[in-house]
Amino acid sequence: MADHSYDFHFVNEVVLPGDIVAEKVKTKQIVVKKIKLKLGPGLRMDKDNIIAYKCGVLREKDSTMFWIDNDQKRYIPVKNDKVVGIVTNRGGESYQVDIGSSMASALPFLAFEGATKKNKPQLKIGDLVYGRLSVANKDMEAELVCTDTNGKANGMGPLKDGFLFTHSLGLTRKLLNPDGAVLKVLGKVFSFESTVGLNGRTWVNSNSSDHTILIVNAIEQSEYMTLSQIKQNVHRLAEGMRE
Amino acid sequence: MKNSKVVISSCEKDFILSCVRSGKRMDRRHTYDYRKLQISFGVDRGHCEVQLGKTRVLAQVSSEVVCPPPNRPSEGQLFFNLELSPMASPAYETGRLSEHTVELNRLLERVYKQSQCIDVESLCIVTGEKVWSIRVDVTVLDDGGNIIDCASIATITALSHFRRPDVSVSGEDVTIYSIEERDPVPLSVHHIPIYVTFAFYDNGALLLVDPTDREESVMDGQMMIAMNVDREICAVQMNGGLSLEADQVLRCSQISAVKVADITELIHKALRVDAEARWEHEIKTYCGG
Amino acid sequence: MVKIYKMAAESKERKSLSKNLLKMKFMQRTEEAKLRQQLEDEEKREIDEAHWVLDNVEGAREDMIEYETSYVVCEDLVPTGRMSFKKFNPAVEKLFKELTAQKELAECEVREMEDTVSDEQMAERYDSLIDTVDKKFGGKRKRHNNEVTLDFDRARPFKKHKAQFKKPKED
Repeated sequence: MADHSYDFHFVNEVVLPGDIVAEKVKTKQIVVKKIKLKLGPGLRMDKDNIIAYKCGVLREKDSTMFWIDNDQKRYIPVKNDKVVGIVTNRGGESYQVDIGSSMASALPFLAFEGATKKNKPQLKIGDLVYGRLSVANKDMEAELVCTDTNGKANGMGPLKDGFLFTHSLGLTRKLLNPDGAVLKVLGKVFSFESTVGLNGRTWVNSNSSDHTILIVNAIEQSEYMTLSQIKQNVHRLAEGMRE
Repeated sequence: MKNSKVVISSCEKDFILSCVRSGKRMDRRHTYDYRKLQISFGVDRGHCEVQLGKTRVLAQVSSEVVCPPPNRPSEGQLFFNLELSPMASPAYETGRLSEHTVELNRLLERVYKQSQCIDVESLCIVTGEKVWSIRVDVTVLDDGGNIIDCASIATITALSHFRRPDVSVSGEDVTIYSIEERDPVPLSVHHIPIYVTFAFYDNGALLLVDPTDREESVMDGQMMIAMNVDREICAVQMNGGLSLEADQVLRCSQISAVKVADITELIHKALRVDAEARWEHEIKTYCGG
Repeated sequence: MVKIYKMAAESKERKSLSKNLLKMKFMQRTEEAKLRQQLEDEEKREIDEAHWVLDNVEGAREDMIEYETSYVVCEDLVPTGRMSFKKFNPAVEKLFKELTAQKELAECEVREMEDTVSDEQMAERYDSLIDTVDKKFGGKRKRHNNEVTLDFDRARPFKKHKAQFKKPKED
């Protein structure tokens, strides 16, 4: 069996749609363990090449997983993504929820933890829900559920009060990164709660509207800042508040 | 009013309204503050990009020689075409002319055609035969609220920045000179009218200057006042069917006078800076060549 | 081999719990989950069997590549977007800790799995050992034909790539 691998260039560099990111190369040595190559968002196979179909920085992990770190404003549903949606309508069996994608998604009445026919959460039009996409398919309506695979809510469900704001998907991932700084820095100064949806919507709730405005501003401004700049900015904003 | 496709949650609505009532704004501006305005020009004449907060609008002026209609044989033509690109907001679609687009186009036409800020008679080449037709293409690149103010600033700045080719008429012969042969000539802009938008809440009791897209989505109504630096009102438009108190309207006109003065100064400054840059570039290429 | 199966059957009988206990809610949930899993497996098997499969080269090549549509996996993002700070919502704070711990645990397990011998491998290994031991007591003449090395990799029977029906991708 002729073995082959893929030779990647442009790792950690900017690539544009159509760029050939990797070519298939034949290797003479016998591959002992067959490693599966994982292609993340923005990459796909084109004959024997791997090409980019989004622009952004090509990233790799453990040299088995490759993806494009791109920043866009429009959300495309992905299965199992946790998103913040707005209830726009109420149907016979489900709510219609806007998740910022091209099509609305459906949230069945019974897709909540412990929901029964008699006892289910009542949502109004305009309410916010934090849920998981159980169906995300380009040919079908997306479906939202407020439970994880074991039927537990795990923090998903309706969100009350607070404030919602939209931002780029790149910022979303920065906020959800375990090394992300803004929320941690803010968390040392303020007492607040936030829900970051992968669809570029973040919900913030705190004790006062002044705090909420400040937190929202700090998050929005942090997108292109370094760690020290973020710290400085948060402290500057916090001091401005006290005066 | 905006397309209904823009979804707004009740928590946003409540929060913004409570902020408006307590005199706070999401971007930490004061009630009467305008957002940061940036005006930049392209390499070509008549190419102007204006950024107002998150809102971005691009205007491009072009000219051609056409035959005038028989009822106005000695007047040049002005044509405005504003487009809401789907890039600006998911609510906009290509191809279909939405109500919002028509309204914005009408607003531009009304203020820049009817206030006679551009001298159309100077655009005439041969009466009844040849006149200049000036076309302004306005593209909304990003919608962060208050498109009309941004678009009007972009339009009038682009018109002031534009130069049309020089022409000479001798008997029956009309010669249009290229840029190399003769310096192109600017349009004669008599005055600079600019829209200032106000958003109203609580049936007109509260107002905000330069509303953002979120603030627009929860407002009860809005008013746009087009004014020039001489405090002449060129156009007024009201949306939302509010009945305002007279002193509220007067207050708005006073605020817009202040804002228009500031913005006009900014436009002049931007034009001056660009002219200096072009002049320096010209000297450099002349000396270097 | 037969013996082992018998033993397994016996131990199963011994381990069965009282009816009352089984009726309790938490027990039923596990039962249900088991049943669901079983049904799912069955369904999958049926689908697999009901389809014709072309064992062409195309499939073999595709095997090398897997698509991952989610950024969460790629960038190791936190498992939930709900966070609370300075005890604003202690329930959320607790949940966040739990979920992150769970995720780390799962990752550790995956890493361990890679290093250690899996149950299947163990079973296979003993499978072959039993044969070896059996043969020791068989006729001496036969033995040299069936030499079994103790080398781990070679002891495993060569797995042939079994053509399987692949579900059309969801996206």
